[in-house]
Amino acid sequence: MKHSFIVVLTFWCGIIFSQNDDKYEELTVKLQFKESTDNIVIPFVNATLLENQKSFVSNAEGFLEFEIETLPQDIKISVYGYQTKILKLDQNNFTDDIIEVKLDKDILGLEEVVITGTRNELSKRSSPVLVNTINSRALESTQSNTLAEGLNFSPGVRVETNCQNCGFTQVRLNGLQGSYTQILVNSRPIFTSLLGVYGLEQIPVNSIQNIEIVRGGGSALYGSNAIAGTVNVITKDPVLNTWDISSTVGIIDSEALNTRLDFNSSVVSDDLKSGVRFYGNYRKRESYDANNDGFTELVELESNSIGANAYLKPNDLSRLSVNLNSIHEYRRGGDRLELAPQFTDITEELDHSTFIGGINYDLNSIDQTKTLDAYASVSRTNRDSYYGGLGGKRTPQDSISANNAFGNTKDLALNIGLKLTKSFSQDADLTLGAEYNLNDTRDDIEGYNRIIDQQVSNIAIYTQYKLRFAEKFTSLIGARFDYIDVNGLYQVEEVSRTADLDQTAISPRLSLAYDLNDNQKIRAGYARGFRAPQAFNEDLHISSVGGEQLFVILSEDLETEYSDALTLSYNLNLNKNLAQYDVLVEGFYTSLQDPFIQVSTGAVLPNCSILEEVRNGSGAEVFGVNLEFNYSPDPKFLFQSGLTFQQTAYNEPQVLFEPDNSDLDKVVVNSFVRNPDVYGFFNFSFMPNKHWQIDASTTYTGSMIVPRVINEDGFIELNQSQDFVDLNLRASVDFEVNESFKINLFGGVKNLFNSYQDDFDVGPTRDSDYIYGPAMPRRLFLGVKFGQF
Amino acid sequence: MKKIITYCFILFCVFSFKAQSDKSIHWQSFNKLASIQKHNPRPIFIYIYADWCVYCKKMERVSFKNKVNIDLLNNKYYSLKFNLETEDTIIFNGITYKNQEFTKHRQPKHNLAKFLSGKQNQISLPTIVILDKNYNATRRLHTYLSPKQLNLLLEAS
Repeated sequence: MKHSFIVVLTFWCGIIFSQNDDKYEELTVKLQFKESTDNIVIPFVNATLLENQKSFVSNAEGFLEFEIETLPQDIKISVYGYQTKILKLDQNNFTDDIIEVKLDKDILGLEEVVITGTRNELSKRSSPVLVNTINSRALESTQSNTLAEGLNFSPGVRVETNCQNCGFTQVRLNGLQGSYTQILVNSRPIFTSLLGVYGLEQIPVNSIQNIEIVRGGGSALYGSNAIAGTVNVITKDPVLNTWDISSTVGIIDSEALNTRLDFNSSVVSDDLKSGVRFYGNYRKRESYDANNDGFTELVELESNSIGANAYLKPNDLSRLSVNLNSIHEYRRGGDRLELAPQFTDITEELDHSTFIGGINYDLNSIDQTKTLDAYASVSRTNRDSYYGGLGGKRTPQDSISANNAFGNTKDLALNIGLKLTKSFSQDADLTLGAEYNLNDTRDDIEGYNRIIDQQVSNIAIYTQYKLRFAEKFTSLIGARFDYIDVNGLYQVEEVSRTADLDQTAISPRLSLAYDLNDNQKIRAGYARGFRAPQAFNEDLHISSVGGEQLFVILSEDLETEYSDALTLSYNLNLNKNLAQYDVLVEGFYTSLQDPFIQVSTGAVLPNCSILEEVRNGSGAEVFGVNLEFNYSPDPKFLFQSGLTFQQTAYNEPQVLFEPDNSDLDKVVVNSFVRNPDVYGFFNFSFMPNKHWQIDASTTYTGSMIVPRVINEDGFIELNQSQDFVDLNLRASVDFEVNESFKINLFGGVKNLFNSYQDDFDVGPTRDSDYIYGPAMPRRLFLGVKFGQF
Repeated sequence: MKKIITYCFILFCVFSFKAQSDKSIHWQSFNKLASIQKHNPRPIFIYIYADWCVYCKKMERVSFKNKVNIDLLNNKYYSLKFNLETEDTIIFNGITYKNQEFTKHRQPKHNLAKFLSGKQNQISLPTIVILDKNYNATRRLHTYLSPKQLNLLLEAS
């Protein structure tokens, strides 16, 4: 018995020991991290094995112990504040004892980081493409309620209101119309044609951290619709837990009340790995009648918007974020707003409901030379509309038409993309990306038999290579290849058009930057762009003129529009003790071939509506100079200004009105309408201490040609407008009640000189598009904000 | 016997009050540091911040409000802090430090910050420096520390 027991025991021991022999022998690595200059230990250092990406963190004494399976091993050592090092362990230098690893200190840059110019984060000063930024402080100091208002304060940019009945705004870069500018949020296009009509006013300012504007076609990375440039609205991840509620009251010309309520809150975990930002706003504005003719110049508007951005950083190399936003807006203009629309003479009533959602994932490689960015976003808008009215007459037919003017638009936009970057060295990097966009719009007004049913799908790949090929020269070369498929039905009354085209286009771009010295830089750029025929944002908006509706339809043989843009600029940045100067002189030239032009054909539909057609015009050129001068003698004062001189010209006189009959003359123009030759802005801020801020800001709009439809056939009169100076003043003071509660009071006046259009068309037969110049007359405002912010 | 028990009880109460956590950090002043260090030497914890540093504010609201950390900072170390951009003259370890960049730079860095962080130009904040009883630096960090990381650091040094 004893024998058997011993045998069994030996047998078991044998098995156990033999198993140990089979077990792979692991090596223990012991590292002690110290600073190279003075031997101090460095806590919380990251060590990552390059072969399998396992990573470890040292303790607070800079000591780290972990197991590896084989030699040699490459270990990446990184910690904030020190230069990254690759530790190569092999048979020769490996030891069971503690291995000392010395790290050198790292110098970090504190300059403002810019994303748009090259589609990757880059310090503003070293960007080869010129980028102008408007930050959230500037939006606050100009009392900009919406993105639309804030954009006026950048050189070469103008925002204008195009319709009294609906308040449709567009942003014009370097003199070109709104549809030549691509609007992005966090570098992704989310504006569809429909959202572009009213969307500029719907993005509330409290969700914006920075706006980056790249003017002049150097942006073939974002889509071929960015001929004039891009406006990139950037939101940043929150760090602190904050909350604030604010309320503003304004009164327009002592008549119309404007109220706003905003709230914001952010919550971030203690380890900074996850966080969320919530925001919401409510806005109500009464309508305003400038000339007491019973018809509004400013629409009644009520909107609310609510959204959330959340992020998660599972580790140092990756980030996942989700954003959701819901916007609801109601607008009404015309006369007798208290009646149902079909009983008024003119009503434009719009009820928008939009939902936007997006997700994106960023990943960095361990050695920080490669990045991956994957994103998807969707936006869905439902718009109920009414464009119509009795038009000043009272026959039964008018009443039937008025009752049939209700419509509905549904718009869906989808955007999915992937972007990869690789840095070969400090001087060279490559970007590759692919994108898919889908935009499906269905606009229906049964009463006019008006249909726009359009699907646009677009697949694109793009690439860009940035190279610093000499000490002072940086170049950027890129191209985007687009495949666009447009399928559409465009119908109004008996006129019906279809579009079924597919098109490929290559849009190259080239930029060159030369450093004269540390402070001065010269940049030059060329870019090509195109626009395929499709219903753009202005077409989805219906005007009223002469008491009738004015529709826009695409001409049958509409061809693709192409553009070439050139820019050349000189930039000086100088810091002398506390003073900072910034000077920019930029020349721009854009040539358009076959530009889309809206021509009034004089055609009148059976229901008396007027028809305008989008045709290809003869070529056109826009060229000019942007000057910018910013100066801050010390942190208490800031002075910013910009002035643009430009000329626009059609190669051949452009027809705006072509009569059906020979009673009336053709109306032609040689240069773009609604484009002043001179325009600019100026901001002055004074911050005497931490609590007070006083701001004065102005925009200047020079004289321009504005067309006005003056009879039922659509005949156009060309008027020269006056020039406008729109001066705003604002004062703000902070009270810190305690460490976690602060109250901010602010107030002032916008358009102090009441520089406002004074020749509005009158009555039910007015041309509702005859509106130009500053968006609002004199307005007083007062507000309070409180919370922990 | 009863007296002894009573005294023990009173002492016990006194000690238990003392052992309760303080609600906030007792930041020492640089002027008094030399004398308290002479009488009761302890390692020194220095925290450098600035008005514009968001991560500093996060640490102040979160890591420096943690009870265990507060306890360590009050009882194991002498804890001091100063603003990177302060105009004040600070005497530390017998040497006088001023802010020589005061009218020359928008972010004027105090000489003591330069000395403690070992950097002349870009100093990233928050900066935490731990020194032993003899004023020798033993730890130096330039990042945000979560409550847990700060705790590990304070326990270890």
